[in-house]
Amino acid sequence: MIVSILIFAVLATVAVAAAVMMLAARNPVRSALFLVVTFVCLAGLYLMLSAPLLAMVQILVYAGAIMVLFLFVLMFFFEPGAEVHPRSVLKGQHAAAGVLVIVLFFLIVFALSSFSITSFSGRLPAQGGRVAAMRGPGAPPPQGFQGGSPFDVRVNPVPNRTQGVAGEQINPLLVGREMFNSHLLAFELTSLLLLAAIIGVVVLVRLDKAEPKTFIDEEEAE
Amino acid sequence: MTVLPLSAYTTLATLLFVIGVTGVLIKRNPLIIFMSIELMLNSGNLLLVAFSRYLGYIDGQIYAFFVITVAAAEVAVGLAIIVSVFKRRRRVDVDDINIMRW
Repeated sequence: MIVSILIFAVLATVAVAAAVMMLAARNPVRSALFLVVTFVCLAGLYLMLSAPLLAMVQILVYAGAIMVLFLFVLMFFFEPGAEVHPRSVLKGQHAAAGVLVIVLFFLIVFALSSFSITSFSGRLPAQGGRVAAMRGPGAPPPQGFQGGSPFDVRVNPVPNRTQGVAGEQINPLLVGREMFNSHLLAFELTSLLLLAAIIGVVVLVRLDKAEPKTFIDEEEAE
Repeated sequence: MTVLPLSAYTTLATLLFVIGVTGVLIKRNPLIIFMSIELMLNSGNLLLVAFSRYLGYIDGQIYAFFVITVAAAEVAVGLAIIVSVFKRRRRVDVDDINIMRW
């Protein structure tokens, strides 16, 4: 109990601190590494939320693939310290951004605080009375919620959405089954999106044979 | 057993999102801006997973997978744009992206 609160506090603090440091760091490579720290903390939070598959994917894809891509670009194209061009910083940009961001924070907190889980229970399907079961004192504890450890891999079985999930406690199995049953179209569309992204990247960074390799900027040429 | 209130996760996600917005507003290096966007997407993911857990529906986790995929595609295309801008200008500042004007 107290352990999971403690783990959450540590992970949340480190995540927020690393995110702030990402903005504060002068060197963009350091920013990228701080962002990796944030992502790893978020993976830990996913574990606490009993989403182990997502936690692994978070580390593999975000920390492993996306941030490596960032670091590649940074190390190929940027010299540290040379990329800062402080020309044309709008007057009062930082102050205005700070004010707006604080307003935004309280706006989101307010919007989310007016929301409570119980307000959903009326909208859930009748079989999905899991929420009511979670809240109701006399109701039997729903399966999948009894795990004492914050790191239990068991996830709440999807209520009545797929047949035969009652005995299954393994999250990746459940995720895969749900993804390929209810979200198959979205999954296939995602593959199309990735294909489009690959083609777009190849077209964008292709070396144009008509141009010389070091292309002189039009403005400087004039 | 979920001992933490949902508001703990929503507050954390809000904080991370707001930090990401700050980065987009004040930073001039497009790579840092991209990282801030990634941070915002991640805070959205955290919210999805938290709601999925607390409502007892696994769909939120599935949406988070899709968000990760879209983020990967977005980063690939965005970095390609930054690289091609760099090849023309030899430096990258957000103001240099105005060469994408039609």
